[in-house]
Amino acid sequence: MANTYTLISSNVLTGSAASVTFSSIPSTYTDLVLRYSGRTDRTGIPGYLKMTFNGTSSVYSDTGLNGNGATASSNRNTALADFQIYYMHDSDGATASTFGSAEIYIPNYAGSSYKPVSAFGVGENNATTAYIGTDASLFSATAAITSIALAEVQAGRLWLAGSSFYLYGIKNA
Amino acid sequence: MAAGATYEPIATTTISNTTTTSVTFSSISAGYTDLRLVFNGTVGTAGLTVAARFNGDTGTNYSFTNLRGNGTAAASSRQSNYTWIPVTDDIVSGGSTTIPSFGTLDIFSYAGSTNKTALGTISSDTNGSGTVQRTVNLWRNTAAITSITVFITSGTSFYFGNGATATIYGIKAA
Repeated sequence: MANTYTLISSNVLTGSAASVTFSSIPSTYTDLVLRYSGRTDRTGIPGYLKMTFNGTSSVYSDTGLNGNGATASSNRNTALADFQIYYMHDSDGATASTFGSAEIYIPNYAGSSYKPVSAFGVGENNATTAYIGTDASLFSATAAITSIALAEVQAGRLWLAGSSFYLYGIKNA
Repeated sequence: MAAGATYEPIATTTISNTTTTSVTFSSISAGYTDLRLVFNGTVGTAGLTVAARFNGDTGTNYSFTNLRGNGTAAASSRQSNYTWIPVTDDIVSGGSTTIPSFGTLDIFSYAGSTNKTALGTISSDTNGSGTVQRTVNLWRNTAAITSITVFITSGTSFYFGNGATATIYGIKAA
């Protein structure tokens, strides 16, 4: 039986980077899973993930559920130029040498319908405030996803060395 | 290290009509450690819920606790003595006829001799409405799970949307 869960590509940063991009994603899988361990130099905490597919703009929306160790909240973004998913990784204000973890699941990424996305991330911090976020996102486009770009929402901020990103393909048959 | 794959598709169904009200995965092998159900699709009528049952059990032997966001506020609720567990949203707005909802259930030790637990994710954003949810689910039955039925809770006059897909994966611990 062919492998069900296959690593498509990985990127482990040895220096800072404004964006991490997976391109030329083959359409031969059923679903995609992106996992990363990340830290940016965004001021304060936590990190907010900016994600785009195929370089497309103006077709992103999401509903988020978030917690900070004291309160739970929910947010919504509509008709954005990119995904802006809260609390997905660590940033400059977090405990040193600490990287948050996130998983992003994209079902039927090569199909011809709109693409729901499920995201879950944490920005751990050895303090009274740390962050966790889970998100239902929507890519309102019918094109197959062939590239994914990841960055920090705060302008001018960078992924830091040691951040690692892994893209997997899942086949359902 | 054991030979063979760790994560395997057991069965998948893609609905190619607008008249299917349930899908059953039967004769599930006991050869895995855990199962994962993945659903992605629309519903035939707005607001419908997709749910799961095990081994054809239609009794009030299910319960779940839900943590959810609706874009405005976080909330939590619990249902006891239910006849199903949710795969997609059953609280905020239900499914859409045009935008797919995405749901997963991770069913742990499905072939073991204790009651069965499952962790669920529900992702349903429709660009202006929708919900994100995490659920913990319980089926009070010590039998091994040999079948999973994915169905529309509103009854047999309500259907999945054309193109909806349900897949069962087996995961081996060793």
